[in-house]
Amino acid sequence: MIPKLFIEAIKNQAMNSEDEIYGWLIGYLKDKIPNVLAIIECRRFTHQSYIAAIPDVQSFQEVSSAMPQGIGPIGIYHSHPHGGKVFHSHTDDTTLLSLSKQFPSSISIVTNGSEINFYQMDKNRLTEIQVEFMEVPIPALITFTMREKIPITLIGKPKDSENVKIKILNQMRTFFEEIWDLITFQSNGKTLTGDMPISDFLSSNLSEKPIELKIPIQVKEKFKENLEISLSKLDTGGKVSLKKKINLNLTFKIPYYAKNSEATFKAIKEIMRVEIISNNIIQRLYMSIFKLEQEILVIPKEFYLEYFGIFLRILAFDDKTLNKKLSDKVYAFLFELLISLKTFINSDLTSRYQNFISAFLEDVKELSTQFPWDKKIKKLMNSLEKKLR
Amino acid sequence: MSFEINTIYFVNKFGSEKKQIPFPVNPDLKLLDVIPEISKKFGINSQNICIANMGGQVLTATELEMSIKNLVDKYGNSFDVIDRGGVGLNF
Repeated sequence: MIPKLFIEAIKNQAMNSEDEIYGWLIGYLKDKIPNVLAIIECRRFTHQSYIAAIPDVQSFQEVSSAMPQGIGPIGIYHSHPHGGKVFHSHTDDTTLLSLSKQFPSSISIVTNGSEINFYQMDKNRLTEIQVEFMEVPIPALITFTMREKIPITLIGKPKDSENVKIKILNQMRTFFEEIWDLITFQSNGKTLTGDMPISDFLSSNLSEKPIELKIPIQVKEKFKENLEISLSKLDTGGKVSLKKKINLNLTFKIPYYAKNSEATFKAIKEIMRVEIISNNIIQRLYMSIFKLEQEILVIPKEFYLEYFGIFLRILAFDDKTLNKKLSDKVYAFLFELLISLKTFINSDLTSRYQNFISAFLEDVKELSTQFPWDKKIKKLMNSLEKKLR
Repeated sequence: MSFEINTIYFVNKFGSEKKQIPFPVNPDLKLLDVIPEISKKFGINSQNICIANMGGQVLTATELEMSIKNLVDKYGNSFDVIDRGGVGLNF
């Protein structure tokens, strides 16, 4: 299922490009049917010509990392420019087959600007599929939060900030993987059991009914050796070493879009493991900055932007100076999203989509105040707002 | 406490849910040596696969030739596994 508006936008993108266009279909699977909630046009390529397109890997990584668990890239689209024939080439088949092994109901859309075809792999064979054009419902979400201070002991004198950061990251990965089963889910101070269904905690908003993840004190105590980080080989030889305790302030608010409201917390916990550990804690530690002089680790915060009603996560510091490191990356990603929206503006937008776009522009405006390019991106947003009016 | 590297983590973000595979590995191996197995585990075509650090930067050919231990010291023990997803005629 895909809204007609997205088809028009994809065709518009194709008509306005001399080269092959490329983009991602964002959505979810329900009852084995892919549902498309949003599209994102790729603007960064490793290769782009009138006969081929290879998206830049970093662009995909940013798009997919920003997605909440439960919603993500479920297909791709591309064009055959200059009114070319609409078909699937051998390369397109190979790519769709590869994507289908990662996500079995992957879709591939090909257009020449006027005609458009939809493909899927069925038992490794390319199949043209029928599509229902309709507005797709956004699944309800459940929010997971954590507010923990993790006490870390650094053994030895920190000399290289990148090295310290990576050592902390590696240790935190091991720590969280080991204690994951012992972390509890709580609501209003009460522990939730694994067999409880998530239905009572579903909402349409990020801040409602959050489930708090707690690391029991005895777990922190039991695994405290895992929180000692040796900064040099000399310090592991039993010598009296310089020890410094730092607290890692881990706070997050992470949504999960649930297609099955009857799912239990036990089932969700495994699905959230990758989101919380890999896509949140570890990724944020990778982006963090260890200040050598003060010996503190500054972790980027999460900012949520509502894109077609889906909460996308951007990592940024609430400090313009620190954000210099993330500046280009965040700008490129937001630019990609804003340009994707530009192709919708000339369409006949229903109030649902007008509201989506307005909400997104407001969120971008707020986030951009943390970056040096706020004035530059404002120009693009103003032109979008004018057209929207 | 000394830290012994024996597990690296690969994350795939294509689809509605992200997936992760812990990969116990000899840290003296090159990452290049284990790519066919990673490719098989995620089902990604070996021509399309690329490995990126958590910042999204693709590991270079030189980095793939480094020992896993050195890579873990440089980028950490977590990597994204990404399908290049190219389309079109021969390129």
